Amino acid sequence: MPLIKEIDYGTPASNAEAMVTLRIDAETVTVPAGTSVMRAAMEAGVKIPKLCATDMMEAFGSCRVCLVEIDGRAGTPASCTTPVAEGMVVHTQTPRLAKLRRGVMELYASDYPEDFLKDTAHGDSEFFEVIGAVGLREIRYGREGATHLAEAKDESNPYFTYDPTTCIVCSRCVRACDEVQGTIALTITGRGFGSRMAASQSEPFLSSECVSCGACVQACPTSALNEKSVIEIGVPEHSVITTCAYCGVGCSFKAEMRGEQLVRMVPYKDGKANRGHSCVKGRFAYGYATHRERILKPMIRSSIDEPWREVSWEEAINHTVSEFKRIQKKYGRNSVGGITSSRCTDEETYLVQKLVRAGFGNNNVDTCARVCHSPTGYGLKTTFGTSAGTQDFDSVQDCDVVMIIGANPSDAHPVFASRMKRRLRQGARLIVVDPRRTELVRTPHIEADYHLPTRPGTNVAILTSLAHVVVTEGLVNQEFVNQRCELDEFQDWCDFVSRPENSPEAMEAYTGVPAADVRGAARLYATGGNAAIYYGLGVTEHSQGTTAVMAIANLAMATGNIGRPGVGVNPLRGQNNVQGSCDMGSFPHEFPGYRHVSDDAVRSSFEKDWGVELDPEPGMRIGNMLDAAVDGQFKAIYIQGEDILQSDPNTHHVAGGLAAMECVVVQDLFLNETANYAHVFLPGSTFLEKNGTFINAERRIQLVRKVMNPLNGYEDWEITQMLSNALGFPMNYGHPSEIMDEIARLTPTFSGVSYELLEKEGSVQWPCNSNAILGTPVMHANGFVRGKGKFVVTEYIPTEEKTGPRYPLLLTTGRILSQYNVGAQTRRTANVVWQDEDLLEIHPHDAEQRGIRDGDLVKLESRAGATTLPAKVTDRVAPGVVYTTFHNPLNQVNVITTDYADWATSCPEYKVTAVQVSPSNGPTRWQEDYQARARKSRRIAMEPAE
Amino acid sequence: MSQLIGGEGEPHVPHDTTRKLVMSANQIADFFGSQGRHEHAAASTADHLKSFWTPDMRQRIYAHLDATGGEGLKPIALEGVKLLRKAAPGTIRRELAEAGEPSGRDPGDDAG
Repeated sequence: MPLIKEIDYGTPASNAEAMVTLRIDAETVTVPAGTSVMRAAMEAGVKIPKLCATDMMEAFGSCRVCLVEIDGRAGTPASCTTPVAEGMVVHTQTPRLAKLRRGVMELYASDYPEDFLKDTAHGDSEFFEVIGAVGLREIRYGREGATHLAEAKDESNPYFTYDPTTCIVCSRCVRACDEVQGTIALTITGRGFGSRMAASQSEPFLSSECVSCGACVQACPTSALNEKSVIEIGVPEHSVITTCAYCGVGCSFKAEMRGEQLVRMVPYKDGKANRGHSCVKGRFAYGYATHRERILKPMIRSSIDEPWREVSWEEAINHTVSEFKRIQKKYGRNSVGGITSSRCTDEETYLVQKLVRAGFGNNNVDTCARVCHSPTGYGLKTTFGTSAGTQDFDSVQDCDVVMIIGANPSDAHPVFASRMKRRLRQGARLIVVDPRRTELVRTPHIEADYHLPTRPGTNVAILTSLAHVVVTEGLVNQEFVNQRCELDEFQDWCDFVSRPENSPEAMEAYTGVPAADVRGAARLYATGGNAAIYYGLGVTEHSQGTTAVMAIANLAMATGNIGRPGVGVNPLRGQNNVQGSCDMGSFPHEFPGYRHVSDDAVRSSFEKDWGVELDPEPGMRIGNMLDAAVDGQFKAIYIQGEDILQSDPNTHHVAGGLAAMECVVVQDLFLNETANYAHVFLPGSTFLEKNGTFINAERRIQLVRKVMNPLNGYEDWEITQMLSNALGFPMNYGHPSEIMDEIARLTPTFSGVSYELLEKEGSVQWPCNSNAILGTPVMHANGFVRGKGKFVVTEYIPTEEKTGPRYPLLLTTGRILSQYNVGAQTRRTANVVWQDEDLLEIHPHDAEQRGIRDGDLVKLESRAGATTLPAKVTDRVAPGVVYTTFHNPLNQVNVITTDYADWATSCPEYKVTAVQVSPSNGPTRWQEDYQARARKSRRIAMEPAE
Repeated sequence: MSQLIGGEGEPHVPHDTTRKLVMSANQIADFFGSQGRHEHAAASTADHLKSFWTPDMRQRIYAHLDATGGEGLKPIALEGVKLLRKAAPGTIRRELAEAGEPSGRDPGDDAG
């Protein structure tokens, strides 16, 4: 596929229903009212030269290149800022316009480096395209006077360079940062000739408020802002459209290549999840794919105390299979299992669960959704009938009220956050329920109407008290409830929430949130128009995570905020394919499509297709596998693309479980923390090296396309297939599309999905079947999937995790923008320049009481363990609450977290851990021992010299 | 074999799978006990255990029941475990379905 260049229509599309017909040169064109003349021309195939206009942003009218002549109107208006009118006659090319445009370009070029003007390598920028279009051949102005040609470059950002000598001050970058990203880090300083683009207070990009999303680079028409990779490698020559492998937004990118070398990732405008935008991770942080620490050869060892030995694929596969067979023979069928990856493709996770169920003969398969959004699956399935969010991302454009609970999209789902912020700047109201003052609570341009800083562990209390207000103040949408919900359960729920003990006043003792704020927020949610709830792991990772999800569903149903754009219940799934991993049957109790393994009809369909008898009993969750391992019953595990030692709670227990096993197989890109306990390492492939699909938080199935051959030799699905064949359960897929065909054959919500459809449509949101041939953007439009919506009583039951004299503070956890999950990918990119280790946020009062200053090393201790990390003193957390992330194995934050978990799904209670913080001189002895052990474990035996 | 369980001087929580199962059963029972129809709480608890616990886990809680009378199990959880143990396959779920109670195995709602 040659280099893809999407059409730039110059200005955004109009949503008007009324249509206008006009003539542009020789073309008659009909467009929605409000469309700019520039866009109308482009839609008719007439390209008007432009520099400051681009269809990702509103018109600006500064460059004076896009001028046109309009019959009956004086002068030469800018086509970008002129709306169409009925019967208008526009001329885009006249001698007068040609002279004006050439004159304008001549002025721009007079203050432009001469060698650039002569260098054809810059010919791909819009600036040079326009120079060609206007026929500029000479610059009559001398260069003896003042110019900007001596200004220094800003190379502080690790990914892009700003060269002010080639900047024409068109303001596209400033507007991109404003309108597209919403960070508003850039500005134009000075006036007239002194006008210059500046980051923050004229600071280098790296120290400014810039979040390195790349929107300014993408918008720049002159390459004054340019990717360093393009400068170093050269201009790409072909593109492949693929899907980002970082977060659950699932941005579409053009991977721009020179041969098999990736030059840059550019957001794809037609990507329906991201609409042409990106964040620092997907846009720039792909260097891990070729990092020197990447393991490319299979390795085995008989003991985790020995160094690794590189072997052939055949030996590694045969050794693995031999061990699993031996172990099952000795310890029983249920002594082995697998963990699917939430970063690998749907096809790959499908094969892992198939290998476990059909090859190992049990249902001991689980996925990392266990520790993040498993309560979403249970909670929404119970209330609505579907284990997933109800909307698409576009839905936020129609919101009047946004409620964010336990989520920080600015850091964890930045591209979606940008879209949300745009809507908020347009006037939508905002409620934030979070113990921490997240970025969205207050920025220069957005302020939450209500911030409810509920104490960690009290989500159900505050959600139930919100419901109390809705019911007792008569704010229920009774018509919706009568038509769409089960009325007996609704009445039970009303009776429950109306009780005085569920009032905001009574619950304030638990939540710490003033009752008046809760009442105000409830009234706003119920009566403010289209109201949507977006939530994250701050809801699910609790002992009442599932209950909280159901409480959210109750609120949405009670207020009629379901079934149309602008409303809904939106779980912000963290990883690129955690939704897909769940959809593909990675849970131990469910086949693909969320159907219980005990369902005879469903199981029979898989048995017929796979040709084996399948276990009708639920298998072990990850936590159960580790418990059984410590108990001596579970002895082998196949882990694809997960690092449970770093990501799962109670590190000591995870380590104990892994250490007790006899064959731990890790299939990954790097020797991660779990690999310290592995006996077999199978090198995996990155998203750049495989074909397949990811499913994002919108249920959107998108293609992942291979842009380079796998450096390790195989795509991940091929490795699983090799294992399965060696085990004696044949798999003979030639391409992932065949795996998707099988998924579609066996899974009713996917029955209409095929690669052919995905190639044609770009993406589809499941359910995609005969009832919804092109997929389902908004769920439950005419009825809930389960029939009638089910209200569930959500009694607040405080967590068992309590503070006390020994552990008086509560730890909660989250993410930062520049790092992702366990950091295996992002720590191996230049993203470390922003923050290279986890920090402990602590309130100034708590810090002062302990003699802790900003930047000091502190010991963080719970009843599960202790670690040390630097402190960051901030009032973003409330007194009594501390906060950190888990991106770095040096800090091993999960040594602190406990085994408390959600009642329904065992999702760990990461968000509530009783801790103490004290000054420290250095790492704990455990940290030092662990690092020494990890270094020892990563040794790879050298081949003896000939 | 090197292990990193509870290094010297580091606090840790002793491993006890049965304790975890008791705690889990109590949590499940607390939820179903909070629902409006107490008469089904034990059955719903039993159904949840059947849906999500492996046979080995169920056997372990039965063994705990036999050895200690169900020490630590709250009343609804205890009743649920006993119900699960003696019920014929499928009967709990059938009764709950007829009563319109939540079940961990609601039929194929995502089946489209």
